[in-house]
Amino acid sequence: MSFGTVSVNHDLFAHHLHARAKRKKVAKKTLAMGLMLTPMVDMFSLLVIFLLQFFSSSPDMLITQGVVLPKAVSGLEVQQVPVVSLTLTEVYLERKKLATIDEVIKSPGILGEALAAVRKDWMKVHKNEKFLGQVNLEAHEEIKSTIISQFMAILAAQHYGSIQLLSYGDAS
Amino acid sequence: MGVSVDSSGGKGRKSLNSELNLVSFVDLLSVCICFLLMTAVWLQVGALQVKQSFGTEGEDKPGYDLNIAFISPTEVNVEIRSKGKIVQKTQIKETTKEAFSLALGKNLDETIAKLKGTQQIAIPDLIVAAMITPTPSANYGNMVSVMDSLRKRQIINIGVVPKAG
Repeated sequence: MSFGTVSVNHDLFAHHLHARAKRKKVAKKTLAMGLMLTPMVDMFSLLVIFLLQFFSSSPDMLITQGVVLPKAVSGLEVQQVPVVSLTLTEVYLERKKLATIDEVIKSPGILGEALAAVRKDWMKVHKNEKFLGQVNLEAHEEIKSTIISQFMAILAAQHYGSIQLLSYGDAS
Repeated sequence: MGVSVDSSGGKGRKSLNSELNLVSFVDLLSVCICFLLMTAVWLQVGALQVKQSFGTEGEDKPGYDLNIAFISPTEVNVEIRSKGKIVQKTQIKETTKEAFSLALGKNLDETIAKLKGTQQIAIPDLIVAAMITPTPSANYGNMVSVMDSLRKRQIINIGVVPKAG
């Protein structure tokens, strides 16, 4: 090829251009890596599903307001049975207020009759099954131990002999 | 929008290809994870089983009975009985709850080892029942702490003596 009075070797010029481009490519070292979004999204999805499944609180195990449970590490799984709750002053059966603690201690029949009604309803529904007498007792840790023992005796008198004392433990 | 539709189809036709906008999806997942971590329940509710009998006494079973009587929140009398007779009686008295728990645990371990001797017997068959006698000065938390110590050592048949106060 000729340009004006200068003749240019086409092959040599093309080789020069190619070498220059290659030098530029080598000189520019890429320092930043692209973010791999696919495995990151996979990991986030798994994390969300894991957290939803294992750490959600069950609505059945909501503790009555005003009750601070004691701590124990050897607690077993809680059964879905009637719940008797004792705050510092009041007594609840299945989340419904019954009376104050002093009133129940003076006349245990208040709690006794309510428990008998619950037992009767259970036996109507489960006609061919044996009544196991299971009950959950949820009590504030500051209540006197003698008061708890009296309530346990009231429960036992109403054939609720298998008492589960609810407590806080570390999540396993 | 989370999806962008490629509209580069020829002759006025809409392309069926679409690109998912991952940035907003990753934002949503991050917010979900942060929310779940903040509201996670790290403490779980457990149950300590107590068998409370009412009425006639149970039949005599071979093995020992353990009675723990509270004197104060950090002081108890520990009795081991066999067929109604006292075999061993000790008193544990400490100033703090933590020291009391440690001392009670140590006493129970020593008692179990002494009663077991060289016998190959399971602890629920060795100590068949444990009764706790409360006192007005000890609260429910103290009682549960003692029950927890018993259950940790496989003494599972626990009862509470009804006592006014």
